[in-house]
Amino acid sequence: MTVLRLGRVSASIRPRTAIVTAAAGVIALGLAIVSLGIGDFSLTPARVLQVLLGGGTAREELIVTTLRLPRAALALVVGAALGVSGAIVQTTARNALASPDLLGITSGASAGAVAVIVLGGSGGQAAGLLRSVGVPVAAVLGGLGAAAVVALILRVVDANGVQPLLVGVGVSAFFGGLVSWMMIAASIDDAARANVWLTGSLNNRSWPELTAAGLVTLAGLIALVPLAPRLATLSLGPETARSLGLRPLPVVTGLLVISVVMVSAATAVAGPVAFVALVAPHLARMASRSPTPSLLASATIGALVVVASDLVARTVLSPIILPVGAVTAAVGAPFLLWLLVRGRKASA
Amino acid sequence: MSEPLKKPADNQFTVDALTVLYGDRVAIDAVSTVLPAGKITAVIGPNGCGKSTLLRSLAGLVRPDRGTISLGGTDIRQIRTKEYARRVAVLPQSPVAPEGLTVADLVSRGRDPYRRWYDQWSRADESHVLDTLRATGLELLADRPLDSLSGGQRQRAWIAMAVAQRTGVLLLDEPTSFLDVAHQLEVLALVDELHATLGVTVVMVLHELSLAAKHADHLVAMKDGRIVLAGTPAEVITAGVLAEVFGIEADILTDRRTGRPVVIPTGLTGQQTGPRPVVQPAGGGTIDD
Repeated sequence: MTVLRLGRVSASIRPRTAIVTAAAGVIALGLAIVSLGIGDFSLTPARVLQVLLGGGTAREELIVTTLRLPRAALALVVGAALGVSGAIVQTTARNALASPDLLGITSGASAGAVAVIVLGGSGGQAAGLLRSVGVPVAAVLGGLGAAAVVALILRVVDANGVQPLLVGVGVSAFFGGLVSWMMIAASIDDAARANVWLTGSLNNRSWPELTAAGLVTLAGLIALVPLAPRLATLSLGPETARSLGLRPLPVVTGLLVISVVMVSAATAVAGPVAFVALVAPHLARMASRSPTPSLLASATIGALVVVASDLVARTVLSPIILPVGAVTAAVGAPFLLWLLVRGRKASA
Repeated sequence: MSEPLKKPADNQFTVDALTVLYGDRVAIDAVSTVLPAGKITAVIGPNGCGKSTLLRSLAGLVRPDRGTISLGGTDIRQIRTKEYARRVAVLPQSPVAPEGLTVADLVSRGRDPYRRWYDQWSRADESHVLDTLRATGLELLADRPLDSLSGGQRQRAWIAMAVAQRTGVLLLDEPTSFLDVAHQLEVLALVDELHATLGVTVVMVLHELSLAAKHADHLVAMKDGRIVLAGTPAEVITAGVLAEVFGIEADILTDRRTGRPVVIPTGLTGQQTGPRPVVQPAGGGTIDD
């Protein structure tokens, strides 16, 4: 452990965690640059860097900066937001299987977003405005609604082991049903758009979406600065945390609201990108060999997972571009099964 | 160790007409008592008698339905959570830590009541944690994960976390349960030592009567949510109290080394007991070296 002190300000840092965080961040940025060069008009990573620094032709500028950069940057932002919110949920729930997507929070956000896409109507300026502002807001409201339902149910049932997972299945099924119903009621165009969005896709994203998601993620990270150190206290359980001078209810509520807002904002722009919020904190914890996942390491690893998945999604069946959510699910679902099997062994 | 302890009177709990309900069930029924500062108090009684609830009420983990608990003359509900954690440390019953947490990690959590978000690891925190690891004999285990330790060592680490809080009061909820006899003795020896060197006021729930009589200066015997008797071990550990509280017949001897009573249960009250024991019962008997 390395200690940094400056007057009344001090912090302790695990060198291993810092290395993991930095390494994942560098690799994620590297993959993003590679990704910017891939497509019908391909560039070497070195050339991409030159273009980004302002040394490209007008045509290269258009392709890299205007067309491809939002997508790559969004992959980084969405991955970081999912990683952080997953780490918060996992640590406060003290359950390796708890994550916003498995608890049904993502499906709540989806239902909110689909409601606006479908019920907001097509065409017309009012509808356009409603959509660009309405989708993220509705996603956040839907996410918070689902989180409230999950929290209420978990007060009654046991919050250990696979129980929260089952509650999440129920909540997801409810919101999934709602989404299906809206899709049937929707016009064919709206339904098609909602459907692409629902798989979790970074296709055709542009600067406004990136700005919105980026600002929410940044605000969430800033709000977490004073709260993050308390995660280690909370990881000892609510009663021990209280006897260590922390009031669990307001702190946990604050942390979870930030987490839900971040995951919902990410969902609003990219659709439900499955399993990243579950996988990233586990990878962060295992790579840094720490008892609880570091938020920053979860953020850079989340970004790395989404950028890498997007790269795979764009290249593996080229010219067909898969939705990034399909790739993360293909990796994440086996990981969940592995966690379940390992948990069974540990408790046996 | 370095930080001066609070005035002794600040560590005295006064429980006044405390009632705690769990739904319709009365867990604690209008209990009033004083837990002396600077002493080791043990709360004894059968399962479900309310002893853990009493301790959890003292810890501020259970809200009283009626009555008050005051610490050093102040109602504990008036004391902010963080301030309370600087005055009273708690070892919960069978606490759980995340996998891979090391002893040093756990003990440094004991400094949480003193931290600010921008000041996570001050020099004072560091020296208190090192002092605590030394005082609890955990220096060599500091970097070991808790899950790799024996039950007794693990319990020692949790007690060390509470000690690092540098409080005047230490509350221990069944610190010896699930431990084998050697580890029970090890943990209680640590409690004795902390009491002797730091002057910390200890309140603990114990199951084993002879250990309670040996290690506590003050005993509180509870049954059905009420206190049957509180006093010195010699006052509380009597055939009459044991029959009333636990429903057992017992021979009570005196340990010559400590002068404290030792309980030898012989049967349940109202039951036919077997042949009389060889040792002399109640009062007269002693244990020789």
